[in-house]
Amino acid sequence: MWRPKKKEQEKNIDRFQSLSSEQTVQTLFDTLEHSNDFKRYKVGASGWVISYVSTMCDDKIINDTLLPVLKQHELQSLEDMKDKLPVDNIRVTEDTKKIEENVMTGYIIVQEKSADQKVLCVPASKYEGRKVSIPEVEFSVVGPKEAFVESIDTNMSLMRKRLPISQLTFRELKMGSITQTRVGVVYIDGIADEDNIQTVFQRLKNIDYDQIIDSSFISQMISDNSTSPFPQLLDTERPDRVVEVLVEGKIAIVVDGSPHVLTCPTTIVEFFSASDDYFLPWHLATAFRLIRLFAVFFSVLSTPLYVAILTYHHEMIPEELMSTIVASRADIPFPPILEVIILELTIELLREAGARLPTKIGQTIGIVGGIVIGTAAVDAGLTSNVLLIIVALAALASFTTPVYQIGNTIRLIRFPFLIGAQMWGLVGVAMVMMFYIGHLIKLTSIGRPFFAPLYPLRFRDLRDAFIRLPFSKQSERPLQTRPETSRRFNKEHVSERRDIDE
Amino acid sequence: MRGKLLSVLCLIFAAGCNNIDSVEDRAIVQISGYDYIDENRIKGTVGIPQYGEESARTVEELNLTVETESLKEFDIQIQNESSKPLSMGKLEVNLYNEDLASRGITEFMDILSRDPRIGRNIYLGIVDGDTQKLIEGEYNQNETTAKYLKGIIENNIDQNLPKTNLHYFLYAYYADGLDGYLPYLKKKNSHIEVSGISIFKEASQVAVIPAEDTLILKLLKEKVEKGSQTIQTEDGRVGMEITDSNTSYQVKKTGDVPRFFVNITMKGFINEMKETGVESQKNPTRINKLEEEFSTYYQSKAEEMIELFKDNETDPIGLGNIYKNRMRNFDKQVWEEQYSEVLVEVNVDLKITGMGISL
Repeated sequence: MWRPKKKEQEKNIDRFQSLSSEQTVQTLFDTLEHSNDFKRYKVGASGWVISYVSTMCDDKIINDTLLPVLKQHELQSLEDMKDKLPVDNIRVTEDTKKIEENVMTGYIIVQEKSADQKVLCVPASKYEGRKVSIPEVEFSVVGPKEAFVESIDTNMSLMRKRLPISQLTFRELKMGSITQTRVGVVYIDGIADEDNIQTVFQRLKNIDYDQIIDSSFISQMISDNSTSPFPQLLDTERPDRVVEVLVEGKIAIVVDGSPHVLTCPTTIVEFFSASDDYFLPWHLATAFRLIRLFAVFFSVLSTPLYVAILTYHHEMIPEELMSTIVASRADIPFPPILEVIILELTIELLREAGARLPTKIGQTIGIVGGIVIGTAAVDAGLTSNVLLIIVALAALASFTTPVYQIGNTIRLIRFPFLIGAQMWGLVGVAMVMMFYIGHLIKLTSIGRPFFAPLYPLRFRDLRDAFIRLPFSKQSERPLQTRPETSRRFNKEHVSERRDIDE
Repeated sequence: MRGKLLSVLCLIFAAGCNNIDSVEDRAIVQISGYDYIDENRIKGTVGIPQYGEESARTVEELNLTVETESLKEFDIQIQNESSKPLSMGKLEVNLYNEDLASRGITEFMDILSRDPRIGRNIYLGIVDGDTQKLIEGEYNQNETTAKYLKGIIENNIDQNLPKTNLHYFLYAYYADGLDGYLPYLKKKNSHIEVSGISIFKEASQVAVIPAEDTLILKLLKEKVEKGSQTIQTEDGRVGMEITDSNTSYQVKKTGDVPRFFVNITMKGFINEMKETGVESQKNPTRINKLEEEFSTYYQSKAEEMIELFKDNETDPIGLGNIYKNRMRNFDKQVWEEQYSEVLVEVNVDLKITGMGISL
């Protein structure tokens, strides 16, 4: 049944491809003329034909720069015009593919006669885009408050202005057979490992897909294990964070149209480090990092432990808590597991609803959900008070992760734990934990171990993992990235005693 | 892949065979006690707290009592009386009637030491009188008997009672040259008191040390940080609180029979000497004399107590254990024969560090 269908599909693709490949300038313009925003006309008496997509071109350049030149000067040829026009990056070409690309990105095509294959491309692109604004996902109280936007050029300039060195390399690829998305690979030559760069390029070149809408497409396509719930490329909207890791020898992938930049190779601990950690004194940052780590464990394990202990291990409940727990559980018609699943699902529903709704209504939903549904559920005898607190705290704790992607992972991975807890108690929790740890140990991020610096144990990298030592102790770049040059600064210089001001 | 999937599925379905009751569907036994009826029969009582509604927060206790011929039967019979399955995991206090204790509680120790759900930090106690009455008794505290009793024992361990729980008792029970002891409890109208320490030989009670002498045993066994003792001096009663003590044992084997030297050093302060009418500040010699009086008191009491142990052929201090640890060629049989002739010399070094704020 579906075999002939597949053939038909292939035929359709062939038709699309043949439409775009075997073209002359004439056929290209014929195709374009189906669209109403495509303009093509003769200018004045000189007979020059200009064609452009009006929605992509800047009126100013057409009216102030191009048309006066065309109308006033007596120009002999396209080359002559190329010299006279006060616009940079003008080229003369006969390649239809190039012409198509140019006209679709806002170039004005000038021809001597309308049937000519040889044309002049004048850049006049106009991009409508957001201004650089404050980061919304990875907000920080102190530190820079610039976030990436949807334009790859703006994003690059945000990075370049922080790294004014010639070694900062930006290599661009075109990806997505239809969307033709610009994808840039950014790294610092001389620090980033050559193998890592090769791996990234190889993976990017292997992508064969028709549309690349966002950087997360790339993230999913080039990740080492696409069935894993753990993100293997870190995405961030903070230029300062990207620059930080670039200097460490990592590689950034910038995608046009996406305000998120991917960095790799990454490790699990990097997902729990916020940019705030580097703006605070190291001991405070360490304390907050540990709190965040605890929050993650609490968020994942608290409800499974509740289920396991209430169903199997009554001995573990402290005497003082016994009456509270038993009294609040007494009227609940469900076993602990159902109770937990009901409440967890409610919280998940609230999150989804909150995320989909406009900000203002979203807040209302949060309050309605948190207070009204919570107390109502307890009053109705569907869940116990104790569990409500645990679930609410667990949800709160899962919001402490600085990277949004890992937050989603944490939301999800507690459900296997719940199943394990219900079936085999603490043994089940331990089994699921072992499964996850095994999975994490096997996981790689562009070929580099994801569970480092824990496995393989890299003692040097632990200086900036669960704790953050002061900058004076971070004299070497992390081993994880295998940097070409690992020394950051002269360690002896730091330890010099400077008790006399010279 | 198929094998893996199959084994996971097996695990999931096998887990369904497990019969599980969550915590509120179980009768959680917190206290259990056994009484002696006659040669063949014992009477067992369990206390199960009944947690009320949250608003009321009153604690009631359900007591079930059955008479059975053996311990195994006890388990079955008590389930017959209960509407929920019994769960022994939160057992906190386990009591034995004195009659039962003097006839031996080997069987009970075996059960307690084998059950993995029962913690090693539960308290055991010997009851002077009827255990059932003690468990069923109404006490003024708004808490269960189990919690009340646990509190009493824990509080006393901080004071004059030597450390005791199932772990210590079992250790002493199984060790060579060491015997156990348990708190001796008594119901007095509407409260319970620790009225002494019952001394065991193997698993049978052989003697009871009265409440005022419990500190002596504690001094011999372990470091005391908060013990208090009152003695009668020629001027009247004087109370002292021990703030720090240390006990060391020395064994010397010169002849056939080993000799033990017990050195107790302690610090304390006088907290009650009103009756004497002596102004302590102006009388440093009086303090020196008090130090001496207390030292001789502790020394004679300790020696007396050791004599009592020797008479009963029991060794709660663990002299035999010390001997075994420090000397080569320990022979249990020889030791047991020698024990009554062993010389124990107690030496008390007491320092009074304060007399309180006297006016």
